[in-house]
Amino acid sequence: MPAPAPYACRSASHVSRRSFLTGATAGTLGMLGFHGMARAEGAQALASAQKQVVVFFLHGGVSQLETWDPKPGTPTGGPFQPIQTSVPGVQICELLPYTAQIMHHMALIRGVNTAEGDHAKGQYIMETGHPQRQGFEYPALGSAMAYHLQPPGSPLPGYININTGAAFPQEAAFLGPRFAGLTLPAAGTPANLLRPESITDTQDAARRALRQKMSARFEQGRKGAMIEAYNQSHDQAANLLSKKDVFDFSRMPSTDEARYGNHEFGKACRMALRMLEQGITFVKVGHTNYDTHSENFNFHIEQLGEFDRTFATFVTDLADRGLLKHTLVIVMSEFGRTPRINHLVGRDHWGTAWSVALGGAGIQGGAVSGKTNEDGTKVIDREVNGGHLFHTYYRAVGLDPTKSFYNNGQPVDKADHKAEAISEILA
Amino acid sequence: MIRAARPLLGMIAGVTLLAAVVAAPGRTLAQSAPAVGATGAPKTAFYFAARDAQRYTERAREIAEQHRGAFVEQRRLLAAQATAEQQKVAADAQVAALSAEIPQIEAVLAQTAATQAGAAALAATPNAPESFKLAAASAAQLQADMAKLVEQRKTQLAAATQAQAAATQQIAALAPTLKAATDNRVAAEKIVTEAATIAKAAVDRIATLDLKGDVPDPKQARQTQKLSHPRGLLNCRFDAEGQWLWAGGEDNAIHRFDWITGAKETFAGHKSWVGSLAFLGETTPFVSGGYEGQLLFWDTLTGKGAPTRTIDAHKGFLRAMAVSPDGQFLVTCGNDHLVKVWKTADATPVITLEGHASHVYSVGFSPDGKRLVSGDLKGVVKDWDVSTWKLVRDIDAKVMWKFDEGFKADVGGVRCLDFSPDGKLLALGGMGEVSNAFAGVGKPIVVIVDWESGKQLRVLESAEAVQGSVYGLKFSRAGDFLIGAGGGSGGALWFWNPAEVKSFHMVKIDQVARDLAVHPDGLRLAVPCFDQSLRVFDLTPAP
Repeated sequence: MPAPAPYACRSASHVSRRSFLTGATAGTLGMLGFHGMARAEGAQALASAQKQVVVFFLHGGVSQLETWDPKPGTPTGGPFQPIQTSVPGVQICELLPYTAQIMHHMALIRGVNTAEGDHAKGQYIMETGHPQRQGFEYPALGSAMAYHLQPPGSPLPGYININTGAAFPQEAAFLGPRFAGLTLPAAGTPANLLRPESITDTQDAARRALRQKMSARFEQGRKGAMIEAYNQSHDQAANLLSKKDVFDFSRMPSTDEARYGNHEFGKACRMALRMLEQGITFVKVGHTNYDTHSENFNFHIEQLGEFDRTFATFVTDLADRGLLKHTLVIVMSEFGRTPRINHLVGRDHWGTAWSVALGGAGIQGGAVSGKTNEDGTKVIDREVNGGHLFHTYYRAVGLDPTKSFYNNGQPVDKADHKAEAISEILA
Repeated sequence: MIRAARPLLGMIAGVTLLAAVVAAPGRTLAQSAPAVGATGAPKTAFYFAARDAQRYTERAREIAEQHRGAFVEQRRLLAAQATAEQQKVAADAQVAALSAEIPQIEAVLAQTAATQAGAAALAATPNAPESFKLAAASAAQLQADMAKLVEQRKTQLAAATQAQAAATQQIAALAPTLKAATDNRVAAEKIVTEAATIAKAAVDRIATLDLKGDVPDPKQARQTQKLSHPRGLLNCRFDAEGQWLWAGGEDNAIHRFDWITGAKETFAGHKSWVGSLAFLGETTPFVSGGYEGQLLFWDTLTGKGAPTRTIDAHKGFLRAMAVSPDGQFLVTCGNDHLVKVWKTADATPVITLEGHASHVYSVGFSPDGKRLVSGDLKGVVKDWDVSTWKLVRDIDAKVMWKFDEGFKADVGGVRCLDFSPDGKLLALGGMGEVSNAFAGVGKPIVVIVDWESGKQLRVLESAEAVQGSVYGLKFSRAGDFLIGAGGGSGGALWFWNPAEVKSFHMVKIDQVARDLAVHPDGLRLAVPCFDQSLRVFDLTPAP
């Protein structure tokens, strides 16, 4: 039974439903969203085969004022100063001194208005591009990107979530469980990845043959998508074992520990880098927690102090390895934080005027879109929502967001058709 | 008119000067009063009220003396006007009398002329008796006398008419000068009356400060003053003389309030929130520390000047500061995990004390000045020897720290500290039993440490359930009770007997109290609250 997420506001809806391998079978049995959709866009996927995506999800809602959109000297601005970045004219908060040095790789979207102040609903918008809809599930960005970008026949999972905190349910919805996110513990290599040593190759082969035989018998006269996916997950798990080195994080250079920081987030980023290098399509790294209803500034010093250098090191390493040009980097939260400073020197939930940072593939480094008013309470230029963001993500990795998914023949927007890409930050 | 305007301008200047004196009574007083440094003996509010009363009475007397001339001049001119008017009245009467008399004399003259002519005719007849000749001579004499009298009266009339005109002219000439002098007198009267009123108010204030024997009584604690500000205030301190309440703000400035009148001076110079203040003495009245990490030295009390020294003291927030009891050292601490010692005389750095592994929130000297303590986010208190600046020991206050596994963050910290006046106890304030880090849900606590052994004696808590943290802590002057200020969803003042766990008295405040300052008279305290206010509480019975 997963524990409720430890949000300051006691939100109970953050539940980690999937974990890698330990829960893979159970997850497969629960694949109610799969409806046997044909994968009709293989050609497009091939065209984008080189593209990868990494998302940094700052759980709890990072403050836009203490990151990408500082408002110094105003009643809402807080005590921090803005600093110059590697992009002339672009300033960010002093809590991100290392990130400031890689701003030429990044673009800022300062006009985000998702109009949602609930953790679960805010995260839903940010991870699916759509507000929650009763009785219908949209696939998560990771699932959609795995669906589109993962090379066909890859034995690797397309969507890895490195769980360093509360996680979004890694639902692939109608795309099928094959594209659901697989969660790795922040500690590193997943439990049960390796076959117990007491089982020999021969025993394992016999075990698998028995399972296949029973499955084949069950399948007679019952041919269906769910059974197919069930078998597929076993095949995937077996294939994955052949690629288990991808998850052997013990081989990561120890010198990197100092560069990335000796903490879970540092390790998660090193894992993410390794997995991207090994060809994993979509990696999400969580960093927790920013739900700073009290002591907002103290906690942001602490949390961003950990995030900043590690994140900047990660982006620099991606660039140095030549990976950044085909890897889209997204830094998001479920929402921002209120410009008003509350009685506990905290900031509360705020989806009305906040920021998202992008970088890498398809992104014009140093670009800034959107503007909030003097005290940051309102977007006054280029207001965007989850739809615009998804159009932008799709475009950045060379996909057409105006095409629909087809769920049992019904078209579903990949990105809200009422929105469009934030083209001014696209390369 | 121009001549009249000059003294008026002088009056206006006088009024402005007086207004300035009224708005900031301490400015002129502080300059002439003997300086009291940070270590000077605290003085009572009664002393200051009495001194104010004396000064204002003297000032009122001075002002009355300065303006005496205006009264004298107006009186002189009024007298001159009265004289001229009397002269005119006399001349008027004389002119009227002469004008009436002259025709009567002329009528008599006409009659005497006829008589004289008749007498002369009779005397001229042949054989006129001698008496006729005498009569004729007499009549001629009378007529000549009468004619002479008419001439005399006419001369007198001319003189009286001239005097009348002169008096009229004099009256007209006096009018404008007198008006100016009258205006001057009215203005002077206003100033003198105002000064007298202020002096009287200062005298009357003494009566309101019935101190009931100078003994603070926590159970009498009541809010007596609320000063508002447009932006949040983070901390506050009374200066050694107790006339002003100083506060650091979220508007990157220091504000000095006359806590009785609410008059305010602002000292701008920081780049971020002003988290701490201290007073050094006469030449550098105060120093301030900002969240940009700068330490500012000020030699002004007027709010007009800039800081005399700006020192990049800490990387990140400068959190707190303390002055050694002998006034020799200033100590600052900050988010860079460092404690820094400075010479108060010339702001030169003495030493940087390294050893904390997290943000340093509070610093303070033992009353004997031999030790310095500093408390950090993780509940570690370091005890430093002032003679060598070596670390003596660590004191455990981890009860006020938690690493929240869910949020992956450190919560709490030694937010404030104070020694008992006898130096036997060290009190540390903060938050314990944190159940929700990011919502700030925990219990306000005070750790009482036996200073000699360094051991924790007990953890004090609120007798009534209150959430939040203790943000300000101060022993009473006599050391018989400990005052805490803080809160979470609401604010509170707590009063503890340091030997007992539960507070013996609590005063609720509708807003979180962010700091605590105790007046040097020990009879009142002040807290800055979340609602951009400073609240003053008296610990004496209501009059």
